[in-house]
Amino acid sequence: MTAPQRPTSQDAQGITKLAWRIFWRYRGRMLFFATAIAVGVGFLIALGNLLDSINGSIARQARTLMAADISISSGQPLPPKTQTWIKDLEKKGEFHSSKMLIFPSMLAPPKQALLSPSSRPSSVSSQPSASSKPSIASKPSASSRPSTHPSSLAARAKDPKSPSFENFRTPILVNIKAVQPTYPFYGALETTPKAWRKGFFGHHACMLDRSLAEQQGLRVGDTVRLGVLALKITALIEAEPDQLTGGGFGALAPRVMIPFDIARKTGLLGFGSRVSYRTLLKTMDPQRTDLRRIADVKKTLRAQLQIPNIRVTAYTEAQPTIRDILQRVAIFFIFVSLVALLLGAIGMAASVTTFLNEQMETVGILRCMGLGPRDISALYTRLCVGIGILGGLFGLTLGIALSAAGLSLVQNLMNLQLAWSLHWVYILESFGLAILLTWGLNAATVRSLAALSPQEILSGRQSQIPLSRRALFWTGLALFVGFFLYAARAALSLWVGGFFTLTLSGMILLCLLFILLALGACAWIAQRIQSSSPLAFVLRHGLRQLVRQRARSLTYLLALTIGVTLISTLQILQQSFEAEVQITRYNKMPNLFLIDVQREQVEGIKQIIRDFGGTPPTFNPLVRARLTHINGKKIQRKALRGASLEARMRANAIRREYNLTYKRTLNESETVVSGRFWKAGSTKMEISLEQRWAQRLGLAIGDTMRFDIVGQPVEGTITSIRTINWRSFLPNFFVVMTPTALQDAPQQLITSVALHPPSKIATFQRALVRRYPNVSVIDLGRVIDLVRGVLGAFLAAMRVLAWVCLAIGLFILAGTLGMGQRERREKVALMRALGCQYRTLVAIDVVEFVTIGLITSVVVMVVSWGTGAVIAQQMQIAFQITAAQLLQILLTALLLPFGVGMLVNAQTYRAGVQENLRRSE
Amino acid sequence: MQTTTAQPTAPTATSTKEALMEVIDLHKSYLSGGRPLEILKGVSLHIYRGESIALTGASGSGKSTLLSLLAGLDRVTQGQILLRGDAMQAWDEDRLARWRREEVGFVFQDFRLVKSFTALENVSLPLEILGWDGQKARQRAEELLEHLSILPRAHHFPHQLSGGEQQRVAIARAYAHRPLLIFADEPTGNLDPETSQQVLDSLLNINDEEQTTLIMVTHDMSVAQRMKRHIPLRAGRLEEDIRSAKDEGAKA
Amino acid sequence: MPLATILRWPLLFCLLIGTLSACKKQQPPPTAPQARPQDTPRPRPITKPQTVLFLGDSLTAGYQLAKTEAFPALIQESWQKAGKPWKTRNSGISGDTTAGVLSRLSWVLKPDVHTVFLAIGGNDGLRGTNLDSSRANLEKIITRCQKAGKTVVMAGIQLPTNYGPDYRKRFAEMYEQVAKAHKVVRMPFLLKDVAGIPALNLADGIHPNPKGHQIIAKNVLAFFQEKALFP
Repeated sequence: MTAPQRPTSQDAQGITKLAWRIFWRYRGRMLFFATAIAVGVGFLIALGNLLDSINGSIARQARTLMAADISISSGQPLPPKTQTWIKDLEKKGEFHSSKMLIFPSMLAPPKQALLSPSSRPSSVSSQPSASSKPSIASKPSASSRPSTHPSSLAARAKDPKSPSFENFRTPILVNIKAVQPTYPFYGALETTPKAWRKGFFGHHACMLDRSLAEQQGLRVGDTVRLGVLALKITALIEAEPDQLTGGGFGALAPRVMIPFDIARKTGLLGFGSRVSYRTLLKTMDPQRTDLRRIADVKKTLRAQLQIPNIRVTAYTEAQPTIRDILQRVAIFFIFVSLVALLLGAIGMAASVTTFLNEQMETVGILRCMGLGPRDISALYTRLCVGIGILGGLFGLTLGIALSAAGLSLVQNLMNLQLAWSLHWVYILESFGLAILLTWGLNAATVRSLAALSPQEILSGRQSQIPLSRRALFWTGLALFVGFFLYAARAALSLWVGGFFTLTLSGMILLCLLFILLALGACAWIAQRIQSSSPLAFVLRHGLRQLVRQRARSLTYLLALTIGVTLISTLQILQQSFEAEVQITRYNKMPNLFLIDVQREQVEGIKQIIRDFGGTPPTFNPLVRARLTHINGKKIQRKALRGASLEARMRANAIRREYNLTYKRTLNESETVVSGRFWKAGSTKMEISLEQRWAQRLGLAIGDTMRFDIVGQPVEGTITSIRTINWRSFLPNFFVVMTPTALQDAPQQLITSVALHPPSKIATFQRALVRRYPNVSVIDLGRVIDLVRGVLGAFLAAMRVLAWVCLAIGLFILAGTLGMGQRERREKVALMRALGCQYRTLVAIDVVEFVTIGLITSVVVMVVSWGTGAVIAQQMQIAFQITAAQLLQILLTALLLPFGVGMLVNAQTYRAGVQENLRRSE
Repeated sequence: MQTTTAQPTAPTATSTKEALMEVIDLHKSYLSGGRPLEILKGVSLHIYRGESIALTGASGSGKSTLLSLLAGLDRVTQGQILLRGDAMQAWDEDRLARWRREEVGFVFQDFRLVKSFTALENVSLPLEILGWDGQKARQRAEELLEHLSILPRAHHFPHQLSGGEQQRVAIARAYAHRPLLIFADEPTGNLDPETSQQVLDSLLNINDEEQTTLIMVTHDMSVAQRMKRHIPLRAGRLEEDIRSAKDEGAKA
Repeated sequence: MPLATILRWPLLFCLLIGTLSACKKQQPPPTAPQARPQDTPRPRPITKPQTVLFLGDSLTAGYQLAKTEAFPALIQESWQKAGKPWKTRNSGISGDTTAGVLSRLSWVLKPDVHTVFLAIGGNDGLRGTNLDSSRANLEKIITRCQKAGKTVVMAGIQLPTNYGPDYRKRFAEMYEQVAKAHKVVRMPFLLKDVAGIPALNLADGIHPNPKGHQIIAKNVLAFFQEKALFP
């Protein structure tokens, strides 16, 4: 050890120089301290940054999904005043605007779908002239409804070229979207052929969903009839940016796009039409979008359009659900990285304390050379800050690497377009956090070190830097509070942050308690093994070695147990979670919902499902009812005028029409949480409610509810409360009654079907609807895919995280075990000098490490079981742990300290006595 | 006081008794900065049972190196050390360790007590290594501490003891298993004169009582003079071999 | 926590289905004030059947309105004022189809029902259903009502213009032909003078508002008078 020389001057510069010299002299260890802290910092940075990127890209995606910045949709054209206002916006160069119509209609495919394309273009091109005169032709009966819309059908007899009914097949329901050339503002319409604009605008043209074309045997160039027009198919739609817009029945029907200009000529618009009118706005410079301006415009529009059923949406509000989910997922990860930070901090603080202890002699010499306590404090504070800066630098580097990796992961799994960016806030945060931790956690030790008198140090009377309990307490408290605040900020919820902090603190305290108990037990055992056998000697000394180095043992036992606990908790959770997901494995997961089935159709539908290779499902009756009385008291309609939208929605929840069902037994996704579900043969009027629903309405067991079912009152008593596992994709109902109560009521049946592969769905749907036209089929495949994508990303990230945690644990463990090396070397040298054999020495250490492993594995098993159960309950997944998992934890915890310890000390064992003596000095 | 030169050929005067250790032309060199640094340059010496030998010399004269070679803590570069005629360099580490735990005791300048062990535990350590049962080892350790009048400090940890006390614990530890040889490396180097005397008294008393061979490295002439034999080293060679009159008389 | 939220997505699907299947429902408030005769288990002879059952969808149910604002209730009010013994019963379910009505016939065809006023099929049309099946359902409904000794009055319904002339024509013809074949009294268009007039409809442009229902009630009463029903 080269004793640092006395600085030439005691000014700040000298101190800094001295600090730098010490830093450089021990650069290896400084690197370790910095790395320990950098891991957690890196994680936090990466996650924060990733979350920002995802949020940003979701906003961009929301633009794409709306194909605009602001969308105004209403059942009528916008009032002239608003139209003028929008035009002004355009004139001012602020916004582009585009109009769009969305409505359901019936499209008739040609009788010979595969008619040679050459035979029809002429009829198409001749169309415009034929449809110029309006006439009343579509009224089948003496309707009293005046019709003012143009229709060319009247002309069909006279004009042989106009599309006649006879040349077309039965019409099918489609979802029409009429667009202007500016469409789409964001995103891209993917078609085959790619250049869809060619021959589209200004022509009698249309584009169809590929699925529709395939189902009907249509090709590009074919002519279909829409309203009174014959339209030539110019392209097939492969993907549409703003697909999800438009509601009602049309939303489920295949898309057909037509030019905005010919929409009016189809004869489908006008009096009695049910059309959604859209106006889309796009800022002139999307790169530099002023969110406040968008909010302003939106507000103004809302104020102008005091017409009900007009919706004004800004892209910033779109997709709140996904954003919310991501936010929450991110919070989970931020919590995990906070834990990594905590682990690193513990490792760093423990090893820095050891280091400072070793520095006592140097301090004594420096003090003798005339440095005051203040200088010593400044010196080591600077050293800590130096470690912090290095840690911040490493953390930032790691953060950048991790977020780049995470970015590509998320990009692949969630199909998000992410842009890489690094906000300066994160750079600050990285350095700030690292410096704060290295300084804050060691401040008390540094102060105590500085306060020691040189005499105390040099006389050797003080073997360790004395740490006051009070300093430890305050440091712990500050850490706790800081952690809580950080967690609460990340979660945007004091409660969640508190829950997390408390769980974690509880876990740490529990670990500490177990460890203290175990160490006590070890001391007791060591005291009792006094026999002369070599085994007893080894056991006694191994245990004594562990027990006597109390502070060091506590530190690494704590670091080890917390680390392994976290890793195994994560793993248990991950496996519980994967087990959950597997219950709803893709092949078994229902992907179709059938609704509006009539009872007499059940057998036939089951047969069709069987024909398509599906498993015939259970059909659940659905009875529409309205809640009229609770506990015999009539529900009053409240005056809601002027009430907030939310209040109205809440009120509607009570008044709205409910879907009830009746059944004899629960399905596999239902669990009764209180009360008792009726026996299969119950003839009473009993009700079972879903838990959340019951809570929302403030209902409990014993309450009565009266429903009005098409005029008939049906009353029952609540006898049980259930929870439902919605992931099952089984049809489930908030309100279930006994068959006695409902079986005669008007009802339809619904069911969910798993039909794989999804390519069968289209033919299945056709087969089903041909025979049972009243049955509606809802394809959940896409939504399921989306959910699976998110879950997949989540699982993958969890796995990566668990591995990284393991790596951190190993790293910190190696460092912590290494920190007692000087003493271990000395002891090994001495024992060898006293004639102790090599293998005896190794055996003693094996006893120590195996004991550490045993303590760790027991503590880890107990604590991670507990924490896992608590967190699983919070995340609402079934907590499961298998024997294999337990064994895995046990082995990991057992072998980890042993392996690492042996590895770290291998050199010590190999070295000769003199070498160890020299090195320990 | 009679002086003889330390010749490789064993002094005939003392050959009446078989030598315990025989050192023949001992060389030791270390690599220092990539170049070999020769510390011992041919040392020959006989050591007899019950002797007390002081190895003196300036820093770097090789006295400590000689001590650790004698104790089997390091390997010789050239030459031989015979223990009762048996060449020690042929022994493996385990054999050396066995020898040390059975017949050797150590006293170091900086005491080298196990910091996490009490005085009593430190003293019991060599006995335990020898395979004594814990209780017996304890009793023997207590006796020794009693003898060195530090029994009241038996349950204190090294850092709670003064330097003299620590060194007495170290001496007790060295003698605990009644070794044949005790190697002491500047045992009084860290102690004040008064304490030094006390510690030295303890060492020599036990040496007398138990007929243990004591080999001590020291630079303190007053200490060296209290030993039966004084061997000064200079630059890796023996300068002379001084025997005290007392010892001479005993041998005659 | 996060997972819970993700996993609760399916709940959204279920809500979605609820919304779809109930597509245009949301009917009267639960303050159904009608003094409806409690199920009379006694056979017909005891009370002379004097109830007119309005079987239909949201148009009958009075989508988004109180049940008292829907036209069946208005008709009864008018009869009450005129001192007539006739009563009405509203059996409209939002979103209901011909198949739905067919399957709930047994629930509603109570002995006290004298006449069935059938106004159903709009949702069949809005869903683009194959009209052959709707027609078959209508015929079955009528046959069963007639077999039960009820008089059947059928109201015609028209589809929004955007469904196109071809389909709308076929749809309208369906009512004409069924009425003719089963000798049913037919009211050509339930929403006469109401459909398409913004002032008489809700913002969705398809469901009558309270004023609209008053006109419907007036028209239905006039139609009854014209056909000499319910003296």
